[in-house]
Amino acid sequence: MTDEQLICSMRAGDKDSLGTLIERWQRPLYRFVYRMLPRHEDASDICQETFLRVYDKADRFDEGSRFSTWMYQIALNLCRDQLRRKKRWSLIMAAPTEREDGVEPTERVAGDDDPALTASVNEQAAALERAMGRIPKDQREVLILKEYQGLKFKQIAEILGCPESTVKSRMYYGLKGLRQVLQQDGIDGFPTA
Amino acid sequence: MERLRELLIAKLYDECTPTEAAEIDRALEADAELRAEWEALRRTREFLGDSAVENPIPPAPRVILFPERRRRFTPGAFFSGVAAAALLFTLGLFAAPRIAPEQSDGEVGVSLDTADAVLEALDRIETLEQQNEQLQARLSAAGNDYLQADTRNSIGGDAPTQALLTRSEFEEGLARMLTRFDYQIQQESQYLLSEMAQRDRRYLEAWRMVTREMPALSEQ
Repeated sequence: MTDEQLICSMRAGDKDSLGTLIERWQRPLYRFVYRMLPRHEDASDICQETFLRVYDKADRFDEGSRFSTWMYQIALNLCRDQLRRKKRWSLIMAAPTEREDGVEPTERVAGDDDPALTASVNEQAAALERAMGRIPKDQREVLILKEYQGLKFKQIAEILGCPESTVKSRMYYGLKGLRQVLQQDGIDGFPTA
Repeated sequence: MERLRELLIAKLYDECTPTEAAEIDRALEADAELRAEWEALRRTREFLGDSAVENPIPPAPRVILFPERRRRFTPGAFFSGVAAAALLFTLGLFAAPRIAPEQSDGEVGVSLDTADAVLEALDRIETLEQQNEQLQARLSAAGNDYLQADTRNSIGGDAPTQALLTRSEFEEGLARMLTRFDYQIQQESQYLLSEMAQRDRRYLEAWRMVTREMPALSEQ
């Protein structure tokens, strides 16, 4: 059965369909959410909340659209909410340090305060993680959906609710911005233009 | 220029239509700056891909679906529960006195003393039933005699007066009436005893079966 058939079946009262959808999508969804919020607990919570909303709002699913698009939309909105909350906290907690090193508080990466994360990855990957947090949010979203989730530009446009050309434009500036940040940080092995 | 940037990105991710591919290839051939831009984008993407492999993502947590909790109180369910509890309680009341742990060797078992006592009681009830039948026959005969005498005194003749009955006749009739009244009570009691006996037999059979099976189960 396709995802769309499963959700229709779920709407008709078949609760096993939700289990099948979770089985299919929990890993890709978790990978996406983890890229947005690189902290295991946050990512787990968002995934759980996403599936709960899928179940609760199943009657609002448009039969003509793709399930994965709808699911990513829900997850993305939840990630944005969570990032807003985290940003408020980082503004309060990290404001003095930011002034000292001249970096704007809003440019700090979510999950920067997780020592377990930075210790577990190598220098290059950690630098990329930080760099991702320093490019604008709308560009980062496109980059993650495209590069890590492997979605087509058309589907990303549907998820974000904007034209495909805008998505490509954000992708271009996202890659360019990332390159500049990595060059500024002097990352070993990163090619200079 | 914006158009060419979009085409560069589409080419980078193999999402160009043939027309678009031809258009960007022509532009790349003609423009050295654009070629440099393309090369930088391509390398950045390569770097992203390499880092993604080196940056492990923890395994996704397993999502377990629990059955939905009952949200509504249903009177049917409530009364079914109450009825089941009452039934269990009643069974417990009847069964409890008949279940006694065997005290001889410390093993859990069922005492046969209780069972024998019940059988004796049942035998006594059977004897009593026979005696009652005989008594009923005698009383019926006596009662018929009394009624016939009474009818002779009250139907077809003069209106019955106290003078028609001697004191001894009255006392004899009263005694018979009381006897019949006692008999009714006895009948009712007998019915109840009979019901209880049937029930006790069933319990007895069940517990005998349990005591037979118990040693084998204990050994297992």
